[in-house]
Amino acid sequence: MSISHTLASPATDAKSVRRSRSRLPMSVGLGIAWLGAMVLVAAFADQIRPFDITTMDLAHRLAPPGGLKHLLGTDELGRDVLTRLIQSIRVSLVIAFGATLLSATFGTLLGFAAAQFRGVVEHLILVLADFQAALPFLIMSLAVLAFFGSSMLLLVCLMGFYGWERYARIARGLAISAGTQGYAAAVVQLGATPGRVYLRHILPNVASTLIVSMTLTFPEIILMESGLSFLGLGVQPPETSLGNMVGFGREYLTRAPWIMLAPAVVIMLTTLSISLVGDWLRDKLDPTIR
Amino acid sequence: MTVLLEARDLARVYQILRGLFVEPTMLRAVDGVSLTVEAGETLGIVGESGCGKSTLGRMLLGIDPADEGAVRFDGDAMPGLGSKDWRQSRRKMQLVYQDPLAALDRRLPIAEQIGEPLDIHGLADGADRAARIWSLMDAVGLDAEQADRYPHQLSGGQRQRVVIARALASEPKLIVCDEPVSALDVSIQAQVVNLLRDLQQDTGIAMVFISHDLKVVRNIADRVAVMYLGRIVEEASSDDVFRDPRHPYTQALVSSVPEPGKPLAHRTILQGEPPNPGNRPSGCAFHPRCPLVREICRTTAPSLTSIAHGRQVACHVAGACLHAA
Repeated sequence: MSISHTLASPATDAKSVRRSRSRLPMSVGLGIAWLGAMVLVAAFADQIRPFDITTMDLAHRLAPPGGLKHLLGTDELGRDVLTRLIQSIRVSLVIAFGATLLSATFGTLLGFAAAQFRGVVEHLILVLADFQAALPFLIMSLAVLAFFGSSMLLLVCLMGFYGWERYARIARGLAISAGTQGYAAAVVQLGATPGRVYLRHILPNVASTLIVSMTLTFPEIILMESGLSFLGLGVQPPETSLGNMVGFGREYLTRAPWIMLAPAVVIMLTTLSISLVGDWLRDKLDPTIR
Repeated sequence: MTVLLEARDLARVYQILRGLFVEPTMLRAVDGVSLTVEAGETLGIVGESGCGKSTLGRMLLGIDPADEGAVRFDGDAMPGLGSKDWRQSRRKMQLVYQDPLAALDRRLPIAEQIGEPLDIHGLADGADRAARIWSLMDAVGLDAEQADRYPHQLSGGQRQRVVIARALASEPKLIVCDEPVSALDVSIQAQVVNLLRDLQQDTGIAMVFISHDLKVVRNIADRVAVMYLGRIVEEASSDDVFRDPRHPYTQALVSSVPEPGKPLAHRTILQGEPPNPGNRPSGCAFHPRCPLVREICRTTAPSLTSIAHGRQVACHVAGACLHAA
């Protein structure tokens, strides 16, 4: 009786642990739902926004939220805040997702190149990374945007340079340590090409660290874009972005806080969701803690 | 017997930087080693930590480039490290690692990893590939139900079986086992060593077995090379080395193996410091610790000379004794 009990209990324990692991935590579920909603909003922005982003309703300037016509109120020119928020989500998500992916890809590629070729290539990439880390990014962005003028493509590409040095350093360090002793060296020794070693073995193994780094870069890029827009060099009016809205809403903070709060809440919830989902995803991708 | 692998005067030299303006010291981790491995035989390489046996093993496989000397495998010169020819040559020679957990990718199920050499060299795909993986797992004593497990879900012995199965997947002619059992429990060691021996008998593969554990080497090797500070000091058949060691260093090594029922009083215990390859003694590198040291040992390094059929010793004293006898 007692023997069968002690024999049975570890198995049931393991099963219950596995079940609780496989179930989606509520915070992560909410995060995924929010991100899904954001992506849908961005994709169908043209269909779901009630007005055009430049339509002015001068009779209802600075209308408070809750009105039937303007659900989230209007700004100082009588433009619908909900409409502008929807458009901002689209613009900001495109910039932030595009730039995060760009910088992760670019940085990881350079990091792997440094680990593979060593020598001069590695020194050059590390010097570039140090240069990038030492240079205030905002000032470099200001210079580039002031020189070439602001466009969406340029903005995404420019933001794509933000934080690449972190990916490069992480990818280089992990690839070198995997290569000198361990699984990567073992696969090289089996006769695999460098492409196979990096794509099939090293990248999946370092992906969790890179994903965490991406969840950190994503909010930073949104904030960076906000800063640039605020300084007038990012997204140009009448086009709008989340940071742009916060910047212009600042003047009406006391009289019409909803102009600023609406995009601020979206920024906060989106970055929080990214962090939660990224963290969960990292655990999920790791078979050793499944 | 055909010679499968032939190494001639291999040397591996590391530079030790002592500071910006100090002349770097040359460390000869492997120093003028010549050896041959015949098809189907097992060569044991023994020696204490830091004597260069692992470096030698990697040089035999062409993973570490030789600074001097050359390796010929199956009659061909070893291709340059990382070249296309080098990658293709991996099919014929494989390495079994000391730490199986580090040598396996923790994100891939073990069946995938065992099948990896088949994919890399395009040896099998589809049903054929699955069948080959299954038979490899069977050969090393893994259950079919373990195919989808990850390395961390297996025991140390099972992981080493996975590494061995992966090394055998491309049906190589030579495997180099670099301390394959030193990370395992004693009870598991015997299983893995027996597995390697059985596999070798079944497949006729040649093996270089590197270990500091004489019991294990005695169990598996046909011939044994004893290394001291990057050089081979004695090479002979396994039986000869363990029954009648000639070099004083080999004698000390062999007498250090405890045997049941034999008192420990007659062991040769080496005096002096363990050797430092960065500061190699003059003459015979072993002379500061040698119980039989003569004047000539301090000045002249003995060369590896043949004293009987298949027996080579690098010692002024051991050689002289034999000639006198």
